[in-house]
Amino acid sequence: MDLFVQQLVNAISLGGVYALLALGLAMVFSIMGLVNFAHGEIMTLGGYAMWFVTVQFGAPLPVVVAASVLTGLVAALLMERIAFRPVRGASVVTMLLTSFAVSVMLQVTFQNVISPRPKGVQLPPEMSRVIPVLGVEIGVIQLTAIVMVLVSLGLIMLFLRRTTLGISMRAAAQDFSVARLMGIHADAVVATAFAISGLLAGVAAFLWVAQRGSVDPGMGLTPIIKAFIASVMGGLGSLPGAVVGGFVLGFVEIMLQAWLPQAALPFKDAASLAIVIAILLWRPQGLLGRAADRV
Amino acid sequence: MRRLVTLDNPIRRALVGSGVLAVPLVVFAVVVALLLGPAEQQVAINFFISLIAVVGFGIYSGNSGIMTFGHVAFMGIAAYAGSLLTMSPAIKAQALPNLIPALRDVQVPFVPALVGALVVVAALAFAFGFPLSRLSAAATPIATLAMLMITYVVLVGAADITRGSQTFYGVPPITDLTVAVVFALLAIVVARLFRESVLGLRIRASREDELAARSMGVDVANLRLVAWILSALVVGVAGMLLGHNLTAFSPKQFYLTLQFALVAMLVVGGPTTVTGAAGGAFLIALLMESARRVEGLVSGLTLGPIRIEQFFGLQEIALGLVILAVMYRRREGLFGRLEVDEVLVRWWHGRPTVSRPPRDGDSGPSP
Repeated sequence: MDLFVQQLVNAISLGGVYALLALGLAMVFSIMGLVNFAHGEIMTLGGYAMWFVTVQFGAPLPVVVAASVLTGLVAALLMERIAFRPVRGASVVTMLLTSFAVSVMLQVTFQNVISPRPKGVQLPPEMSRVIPVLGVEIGVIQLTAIVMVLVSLGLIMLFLRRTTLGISMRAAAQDFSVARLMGIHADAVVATAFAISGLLAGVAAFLWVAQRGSVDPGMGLTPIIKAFIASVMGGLGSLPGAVVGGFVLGFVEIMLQAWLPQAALPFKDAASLAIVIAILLWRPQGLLGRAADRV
Repeated sequence: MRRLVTLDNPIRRALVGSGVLAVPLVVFAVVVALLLGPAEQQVAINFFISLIAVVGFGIYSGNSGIMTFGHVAFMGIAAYAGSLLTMSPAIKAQALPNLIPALRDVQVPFVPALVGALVVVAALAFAFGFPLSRLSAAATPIATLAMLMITYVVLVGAADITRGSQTFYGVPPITDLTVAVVFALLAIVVARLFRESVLGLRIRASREDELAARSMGVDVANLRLVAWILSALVVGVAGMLLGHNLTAFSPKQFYLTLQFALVAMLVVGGPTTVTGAAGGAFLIALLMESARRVEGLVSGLTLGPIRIEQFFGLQEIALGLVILAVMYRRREGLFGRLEVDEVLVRWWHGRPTVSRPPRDGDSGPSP
């Protein structure tokens, strides 16, 4: 029972990180049709910001979180303005390739400007403690992750449901051209989508680096591929779908980690992705996606 | 005389088109073989292998209009599977002590080994392609990325067969310039025949307007599956050749860096034509080789107070900039939407050779 609760906590904290990333991706995709490969590099930048403030200033934990989140925000906004504005309204393939190129160029820049090797990020020792909750030993990092994920998702939901801008975002996600005809400002909606995706990537970067203790130029790649596949599994373009997909992928990974025999553990990532592809065989439009147009 | 020039017959059009494309390639190969040294010949072999991979990649991505990021997985699988069949049992016993005896003792010539490797590739392409071809055009690239990751993880994990992330060595060096050129020409003929065939025409129609094509009775999902498998087979040939050219490799060589180069080659030349795929492969190969030499020159250079110890990834930066330039300025690629033979025929008739304006969905926001 204890073991099960612990695995559940692991699954929620890992799935939560995927959900944050997938939600950011889905938000940008649903509004401008961009599958943003460079989302992972926003996360990497957040990680480098954490490294910078801890090594240079020995900053306290709240400052480290703020650094990661703000860097994600600024990086996402700059990326939209510089790289993606020229291809706005272009085909999905054009935007996809643009973001692919941006992603690779950023990775190479990190290698040259910072270092090709991982940089250690030292967080306060309290973060790696284990505390008893209701008779079960739970890591502080996992607990932080769950709280931060739930708070972020709650705030995003409030924003999308209660504010004018949030409601225009949902309208734009449904049908961008009609939303524009209703007087919704395209630039504002697109910038907000990138801002939110950047904030979420910053939170995800903090949680990811806090667990692993280091940041390297290619750090964003693996989580971003998983977040992509999570958003496809949830239904590409569906915001709740992205969150659900992220959590499902987290559960699948933790359950495989717990139950796969030792010899099969190297194949864990392959197995979880294969399960996702099998789910797509059953529901090609994703768990919460709308079926394709019928002829 | 007039009939011959219009090239109405699709098979003749495919063959004439391949022939026109073959001439500069063969001339290039002969010049390299006769005039240049072994280092340049190696660069040329790499170019021809990339050309096969890009032309194969274009059979799916170019004709269907769906970008993918997983084709190098087929190169990797073919390289490992084919090499296991051509390597001598003695080397296998040394490099792969845990290999099952049946696989260890077998050794066949290159062509049967290629067939064996392609059977594996076809099975894998079907297994992934069946679910993939049912996804939406926007979800497919992401799913192919997952496929690449699965293959990579399996190649690294199956250490008994592949030596894991360690270098897999002892593959016989069979690929020389002649072999590479012959297979490159074959790949071009296959790609052109498919493009001009009824299936090719239908899948190109689905690229221009999926809904319209489906309403005309085109079975888009199954067509994409067919194109995907054919594409995987041609890319598999490139992987087999690359394995027998490198003779020692690891799974890392069949991952995102190579995929990035292939994507650049396809996109820069123009994905919709075989001419574009071949031309893009040439231009990008040239660019990458130049970048590699510049990288060597720049490393260790002192510029005033700044000393460049080692500069990484100039190739990737160059590829990234070229892709961005094409995406911002010329989305259909440098060679446009016409095959070289179509351009020649139009030129013969004095018609304009400019390709038609971009599609609705491809144009930027109206001013």
